[in-house]
Amino acid sequence: MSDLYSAYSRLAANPVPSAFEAEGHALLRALLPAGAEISADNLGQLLIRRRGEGRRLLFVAHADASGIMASHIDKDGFVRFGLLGRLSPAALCDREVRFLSGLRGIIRAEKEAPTLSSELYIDIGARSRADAARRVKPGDPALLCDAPRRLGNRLTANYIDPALPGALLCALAEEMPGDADVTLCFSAAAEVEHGAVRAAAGAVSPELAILLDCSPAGDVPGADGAALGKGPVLRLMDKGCICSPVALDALRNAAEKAGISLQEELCPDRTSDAGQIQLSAAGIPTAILALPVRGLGSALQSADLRDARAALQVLRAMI
Amino acid sequence: MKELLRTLCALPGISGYEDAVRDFIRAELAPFADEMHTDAAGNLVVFKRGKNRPQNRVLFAAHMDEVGFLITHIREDGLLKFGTVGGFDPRVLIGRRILIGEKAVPGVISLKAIHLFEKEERENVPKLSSLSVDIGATSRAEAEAVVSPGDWAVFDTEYTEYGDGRVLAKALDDRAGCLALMELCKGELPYDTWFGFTVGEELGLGAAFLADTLCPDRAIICEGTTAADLPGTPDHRKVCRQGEGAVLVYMDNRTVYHPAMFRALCAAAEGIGAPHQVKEYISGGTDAGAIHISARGVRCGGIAVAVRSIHSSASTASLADIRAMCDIARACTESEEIYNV
Repeated sequence: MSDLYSAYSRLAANPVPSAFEAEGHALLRALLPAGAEISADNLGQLLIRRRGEGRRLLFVAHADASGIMASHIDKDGFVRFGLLGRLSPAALCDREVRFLSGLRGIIRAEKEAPTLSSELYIDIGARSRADAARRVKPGDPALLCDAPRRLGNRLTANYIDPALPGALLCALAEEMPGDADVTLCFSAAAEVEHGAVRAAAGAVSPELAILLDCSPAGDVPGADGAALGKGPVLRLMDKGCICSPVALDALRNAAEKAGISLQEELCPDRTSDAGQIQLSAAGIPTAILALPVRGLGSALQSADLRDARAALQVLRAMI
Repeated sequence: MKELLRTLCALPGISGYEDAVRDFIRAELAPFADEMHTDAAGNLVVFKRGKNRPQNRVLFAAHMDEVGFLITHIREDGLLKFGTVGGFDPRVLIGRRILIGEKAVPGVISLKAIHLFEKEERENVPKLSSLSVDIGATSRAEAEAVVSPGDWAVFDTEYTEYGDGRVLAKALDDRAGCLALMELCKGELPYDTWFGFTVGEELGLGAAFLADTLCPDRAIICEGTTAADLPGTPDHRKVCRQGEGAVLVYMDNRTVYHPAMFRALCAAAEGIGAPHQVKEYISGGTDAGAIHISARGVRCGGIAVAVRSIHSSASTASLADIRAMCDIARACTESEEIYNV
């Protein structure tokens, strides 16, 4: 059982890396209503089904957070790595990361203004190669590990994306009015853009799909785009998807019914899983409902809880 | 193993034109397979019954296609223009011998002689479009007598064993993987197993159709992977090292391999004491990219052979590494973790 904020704060404090989403299943199950019909697929994607007589809908939020994957332990015990997601070398530089084992390290650059992951390394404070090799191996993932914070309605965390959209699904699961046949999906590997969501979307084959995502906020110097605290965003298109008018209208109608005003945007620089969902199975009309987030792509993000509360009302009105 | 590898590497089969490879594998495996068919995309799908029926449908995959060329245009002067099929560094093509089409017409990939270059041109990597193929024809008519636009071509490389158990050949990527699958198929297996010899991997195709139809639960991809282990490369960018065993892969540019499958492969390798290493740089891609997101999702693992100069006329590998890949693949056929969990 959970409300929106408590689900968000648990998820923000316990992120999981791409391909390791199963590590987060116990927490998700604890946040979802007892007795919910939950299944997991081969790729660690969690599906929650609420059967109904009405149209079949799919709501998707990805479970994975961007981080790094250890690839090599060097002769002095420094850990080399590759990117596991969308955080750039610049965003990762000088940040602390934590491996699944709890081991922490600091990412450093071997030169100024790094542009490649091969120009970075992790300092885990090892005495030697052997010492490091006892504690970490190539193939081990790590994520940023700063504590999330809240000040009134302002949330800051490493991973607003995916914790806040994920919390929306958890809160939606608590109370689903209407008679639509609803599946909620915590999808995998969205941050690495490998298309894992296709397997889940294909299995559900809904009439319509709504992807929950985060959008880069424009209400800061030097940026254009949606503003924090002005409501959820209807994304008409992004780099991978031209959203289906049918699905967009369904969202607009739901927003009107709920009395919520939507911001609208084109997001040509961001790729989401919406395109992958739209091209799954025999084709699934898809639209994106997004939350404005400042600092998307950086190590520290911020958002307004009221936008998420408003988005929840829109989703409830849709089913 | 060596004779089979020699034969496999010699067969011509660029992406989209894998017929010769497929025909050979089909004929070789016919006495050992319980079911065999070629799907609409050209993938060869083989089913072999084992002693027991497993919980999971398990697929081993390797691709039949190699990187190569397509003749696109015959010039008035008898030189041919061509396109590449698969990824190439243009620098590795200059001066290489190729064989064109079924008739194996010999040609040489040519660039104009160095003394004819401007200084700037000399300092830059030549563009593919400035290369031509010389088959010794002096006119279009002469050339048209033996080749046509649309003809495929492969490197003309003689399989050679050299050095400390090394082999030099074309198409080690991925005839070595095909060999691993064929060995498994010819032996007795504990569990029912599927084998997919895929088409078009160098272009990212083929495997998706096979997996969407077969709907496996687990897949193990046997591949060739880049070894950049030559002097001057920093250790963390060498990717993997030739001669240090089969390469077990946890991630590349298209797939994060399922952690449980990666652990199962490591356990299988350790269990039989087969020399193995892990891929130490995130690069490249395999059929797992298409397979893992197909159907209802497939948990994939990857075993690879370290190949130096991978997409070139003279790729090399260690025979012991190929042996290790075959042995680890065999150990996987006995894995409860892969077949029944």
